[in-house]
Amino acid sequence: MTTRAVTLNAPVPMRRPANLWRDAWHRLIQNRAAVISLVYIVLLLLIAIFASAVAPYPFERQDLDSTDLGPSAQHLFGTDGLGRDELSRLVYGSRISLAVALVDVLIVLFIGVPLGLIAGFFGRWLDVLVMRTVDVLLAFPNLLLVIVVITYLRAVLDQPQGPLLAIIGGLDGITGGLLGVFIALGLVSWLTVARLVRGQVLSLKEKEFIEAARMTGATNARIVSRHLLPNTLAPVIVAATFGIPAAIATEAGLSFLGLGVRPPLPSWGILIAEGVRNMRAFPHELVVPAVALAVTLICFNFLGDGLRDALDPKLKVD
Amino acid sequence: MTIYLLRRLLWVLPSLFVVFTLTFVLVHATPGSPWDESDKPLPASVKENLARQYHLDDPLPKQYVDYLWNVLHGDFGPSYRSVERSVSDIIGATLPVSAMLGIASMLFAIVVGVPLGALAAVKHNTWIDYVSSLITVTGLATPPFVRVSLLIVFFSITLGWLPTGGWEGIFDVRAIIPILAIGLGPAAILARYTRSSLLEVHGQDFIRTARAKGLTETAVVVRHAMKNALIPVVTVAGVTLANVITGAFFVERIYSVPGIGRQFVDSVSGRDYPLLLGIVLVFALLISLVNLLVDLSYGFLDPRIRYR
Amino acid sequence: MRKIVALSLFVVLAVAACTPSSSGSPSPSGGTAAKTTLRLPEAAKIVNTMDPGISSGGAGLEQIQNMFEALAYVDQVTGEIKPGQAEKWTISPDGLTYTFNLRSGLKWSDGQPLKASDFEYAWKRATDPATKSRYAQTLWPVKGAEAFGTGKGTADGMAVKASDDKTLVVTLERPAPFFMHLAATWTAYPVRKDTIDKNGDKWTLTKDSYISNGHYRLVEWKPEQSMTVEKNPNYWGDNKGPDTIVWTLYDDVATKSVLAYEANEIDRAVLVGADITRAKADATLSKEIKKFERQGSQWIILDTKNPPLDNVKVRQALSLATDAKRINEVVLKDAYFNSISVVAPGIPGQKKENALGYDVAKAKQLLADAGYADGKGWPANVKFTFASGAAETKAIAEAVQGIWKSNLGIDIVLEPMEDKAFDNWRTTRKDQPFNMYVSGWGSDYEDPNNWYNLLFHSKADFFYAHWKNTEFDGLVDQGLKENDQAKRKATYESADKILNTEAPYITIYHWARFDLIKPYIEGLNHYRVLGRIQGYLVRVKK
Repeated sequence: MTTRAVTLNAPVPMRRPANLWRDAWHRLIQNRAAVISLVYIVLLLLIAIFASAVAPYPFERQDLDSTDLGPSAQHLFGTDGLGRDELSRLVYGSRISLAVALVDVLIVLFIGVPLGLIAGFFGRWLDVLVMRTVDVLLAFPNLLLVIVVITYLRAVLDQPQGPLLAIIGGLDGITGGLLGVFIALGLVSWLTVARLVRGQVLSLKEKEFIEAARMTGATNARIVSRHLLPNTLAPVIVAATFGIPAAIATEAGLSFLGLGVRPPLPSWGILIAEGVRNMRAFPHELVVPAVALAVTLICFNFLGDGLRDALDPKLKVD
Repeated sequence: MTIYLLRRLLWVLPSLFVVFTLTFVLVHATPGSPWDESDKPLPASVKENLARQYHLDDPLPKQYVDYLWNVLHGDFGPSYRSVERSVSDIIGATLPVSAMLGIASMLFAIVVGVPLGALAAVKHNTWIDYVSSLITVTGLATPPFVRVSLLIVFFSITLGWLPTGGWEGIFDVRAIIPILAIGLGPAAILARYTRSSLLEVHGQDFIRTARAKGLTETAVVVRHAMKNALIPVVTVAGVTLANVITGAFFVERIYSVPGIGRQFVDSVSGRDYPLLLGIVLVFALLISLVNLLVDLSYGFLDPRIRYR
Repeated sequence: MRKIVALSLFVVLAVAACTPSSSGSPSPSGGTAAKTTLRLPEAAKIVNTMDPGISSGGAGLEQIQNMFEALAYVDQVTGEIKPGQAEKWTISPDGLTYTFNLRSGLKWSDGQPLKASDFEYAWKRATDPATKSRYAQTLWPVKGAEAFGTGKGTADGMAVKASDDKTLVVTLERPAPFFMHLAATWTAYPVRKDTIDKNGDKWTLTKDSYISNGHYRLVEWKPEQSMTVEKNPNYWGDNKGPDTIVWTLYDDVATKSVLAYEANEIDRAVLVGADITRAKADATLSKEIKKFERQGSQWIILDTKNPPLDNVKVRQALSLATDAKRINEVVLKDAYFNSISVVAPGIPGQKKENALGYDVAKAKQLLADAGYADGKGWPANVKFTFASGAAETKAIAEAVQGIWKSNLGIDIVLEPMEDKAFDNWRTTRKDQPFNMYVSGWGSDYEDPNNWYNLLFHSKADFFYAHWKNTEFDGLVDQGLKENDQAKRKATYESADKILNTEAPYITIYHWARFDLIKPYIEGLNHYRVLGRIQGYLVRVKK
C-alpha cells in the first residue's frame, strides 16, 4: 500500500498503474536479443503456415538426375539422396518441428505448472498423489514408453477395428504419424516442470510475503495466481524453452530409429537423421537442418531469457 | 524428517509395482515375437517349442505372477536373445558401466555447466552472457547422435587422438568421447538453470544485505546466492542423472560402450521381455532413490522448507 | 569463476592431447612381433549365441564358422562341397543312407580325440526341443528328426548313429540331393558333451570351456564388444592364415566400420550408401574398394489375390515402370547389382531373357488396358509396407513411390513399421491380404530347389504372395526329381519364364557385399553363397 503525499497546487506526476504484464512487455522490447529472436520465431511460424507459398518445390518431388547436390542457383540448400530440394523440405519440415514444440510447451504450461502448484501449495495428500505419479512416470524410461506407444499404435492401427481406433488412426494420419510421439511427450514433458514448480512453491510458501497476503485475507486462488505463479515463472520458462529442444531431439532420435514421421513427410528430425548418415560425403545435408535447428533453439532460448528478465518482479522499471 | 524418509522409502515399492505392471502390459500388447525372423520365418513347430520352453504360452496373468515371484527371490530369468547370459548377468555387467559413465558425465556437466551459468548470471546481459548462452544452446541444439558422430569424426579421424569406440573402464581414454557426448547436454541445461535461478535470487533482500556488508562479489555468489539458487538446479540434475543413464543409449550404441541403455532399447525392439522388465525395475528403483535424494537436499539447501 | 572454467577446459584438452594416437586394436595375448592379426568388423545386434546348435545364423555365424568344422564344407571360391572332418562319404543307391568316414587322428582344440559320437550327440542335441535351438529344423530331413523335434519322438528314433569312433551313418526320410549342404551347416557342427554338461548354457563364454574343432579356437569373448580367436594347433590340416583374428562388434556396422577403418583400427569395412560415393572419390580409398557378388534378390512382393494387384497386367505394368537400375545406381549409390530377373543369376533355370525389363511406354499401355489409364481410377489406399529400421529400405520405398507417380500417375501410401512389428505382420500375411512389401532372399546353397521349389511353389508360397500357377508348380515339381542336369535346367528355365511374366515379384536389385579392404590383406573373399569370411584363407602381409 502506498500513500502518496499530495502537495496542493503542485502537478501530480502521472504514473500509469503498475501492471506486471505491461511492464514486462516494455522490458522485453528493450532486450535486443529477445526482440530479434521473437521476430525470427514469428517469421518461422509464418513460413510454416504458408509453406506451400514459400517453398520453391513440392517437398516430395524427386529428381534422380540431381541427387546429393550442394547449394546452387536452382537449389539454394542443395538436394538430398532422392534429388528433393532441401530448402523445400526444410520449410515443410518446420511444421512438424514447430508442432512438436508447440505440443510440448502446451503440455508443460497447462499440465505441469498447475499440477506443480497444487502439489507444492496444498501439500499433504495432494502432494503425495501428484509427486508419486510423477515418480512413477519418471521412473518409466521415456524411450521405452515412446517406442512401445508408437509401435503399438502403428501395429494396431494397421487394421483398425471399431470407431475408436478409426478415429485414432485418423488423428495419426493428420499428424503425419506423430501421434505416438505426441502421446509419449504428453506423458513425459510435464514431469520435470511439475517437480520444479513444486520445489519453488515449497520454498516460497514459507516466505513473508505469502504470510502477508494471507493476513490480508487473500484466498488460496489469489495467492497462487497472483503471488506464487509469477515467482515460479523463471524456472517454468526455462523448462518450457528447454522442453523444446528436448522434444525436437526426441523426434529426431525417433526418426533416426525409423519410428518418427511417416515418409515422405519431412521433419527437421528426419532431415538431421538422414544428414548424419551422409555427413562425411555430403555435409550440406546435415549442416543445413542442424543449423536451422540450432538457430531456432537459440532464438527460443534468448526469447525465454528475455521473458524471464521481463517478468522478474524485482527488476521494476521505475 | 525420519518419518518423512521412511514414508518416502515405503512409497518406492508400490511405485516399482506400478511401473512393472504398466511395462508388462504394454510390452505384451505390442505385436512381435522375441525370435529372430528377419531372414526367414521360423517353422510354426519350432516357434511353439520355443514358446513352451520359455513359458510364453502360459496365460498372461500366470506369466505375470511367475515373474514377480521369481524376482522376489532374486531371479530375473533368462534373456530370450542371449542364451549364455541371464538377465542378472547382463544387468550386472552393464549397469556398472552405465553408472560410471553417467556419474562421470554428470560431474563433467556440473563442473562445466554450473560455473558457466553462474558466470553468465553475474555478467548478466554482457557479451559474456550471450556467448555462454550460445555455447550452452549449441550443446543442446544438437541431438545426441549428432553430437557423438561429430565428436568421433573430429577427434578420431581428423585429429587421430582418440579411438573410435570401445570401453576399457572409466579412466581409460575411450571414456572421453562418451563423457563429452553425454555430458554436454546436461552441462548446457545446468548452465541455463543456474543462470536463471541465480538471477532470480540476486534481486532478493538477503543478497543486498550481503553486499551491504561489504562482501566481494564472489563471496556473495558462492556463499549466499548459490545455495538458494541450487534448488531448481538440483531438481534438474536429479532428473538428468536418471535420464543420462537411460538416454545415453545413442552414445553407447554409436561408440560401442557395453552399457545398459543399449540393452534396454535392444530389449524393446527385440521383445526380450525378461531383460526389459528387469531393466525397467532397476531404473525405477534408481530414479525413485535419486528423486528422494533430491527432495531431501531441498531441506539442506533452503532450511525454510519443512517436511511434515 | 572464469578461472575455474578456463582451467577445467584446459585440463580436458590437455588430457586429450596427451593420449597416444590410436594405434590399432588391442594386441592379442602373448604376441611376438612376427604374429599376424586380422581385424574384422561384425554386427553386434543379433549375436544371440555362440552355440552352433542353437544359433540361427545371424551375427555370430562368421565366428562360429571359423572355430568349427563340419563333416564337409563349402569351398569359398568354387562353391563345391569338400571333405572336412570326414575324409569321404558314400551314399546308398536309393539316396537314403549316407555313411561318413572321419579322418584319422582328429582332435578337439584341447587335444582330446574327436569321435563320430560327438557328431551324433551334436545333431541330436540340436534337434532336441529342450535345447531351444533357433535353427532346429535344419536336420529334419534325417529320419525321425522332425518327430523328435516336435516332441512326438525320441532321440533314439533319430537316424544318426556312430557305428564306431570313425564312422557316422545317417538315414534320411526321403532322398534329398542337397543334403550335403545341410551337413555342412553350422547346426551340424560337432560339440563336446562334457563341457556342455559341466557348464550348461555358459559353456561358450570362456576359452577353457569353449572347445571347438576348427581352424581357430577361442581366446576371449567380450559380449557386445569383441571376440578374439587364435590358430588351433590341434586342427588336422594346415592353416596359413593369420595367427589371430579379432572381431570388433558394432551396432551400426555400416557407419562405424568405415570410421574405424579410416582410423586404422580394422582391416575391412562395410560400405553402404553415401560412404560408397565418398570412397570412390577418395584417392586412397578408391583403390581399396572391392565389390562381391552375393546370390540373392531383393523384391517388392505383391499380393496377387488382392485388387488391384490381382490383375496380371497391373503387376506387369508396375514391374515395367520400376526403374530398378536407377534405384540401385543413384538412390543406393550402386551398392548392389542391377536387377536382372526375379531369381538371382547363377541358379540354373535363371535366364535373363525371361525378365520383363524397364519399358515405361509398355507399362502405361498395360495399365490403361487394365482400366487405370494415367492412374485414373486407381484405388486410394494401396499400401507399400516395409520395416523402418533400415535407412535403405526407406529410400527405396520413397524412390518407388516417386517413380510410379511420375511414370504411371498412380499414388501409393508408404507404411513403415517397426522391425519386429513388421516381422509379425509379415508372418500373419499367410492368410491375410496386403498390397506389397519389401523383402529378399539369399541362397542357402546354389540349387534351383532353394528358390523355385522352396519359395515360389504355390504350396510353399514362402513370401505369401498368394500366387498359384499350376503350370509353374508342375514344372518345378518335375525339376526336383530330374536327374539329368541339362533337362533339369531346361525345365526350370521354362518355370522361370512363367515366374517373370506373371510378375508376383518385382526385383529391385541383386545382393552384393561392398567392402573396403586394406591393401596388405590378401585372399579375403566372400563366396557368393552365404559369404562369411574364412580366416585361414586370408594372408596378412604386414
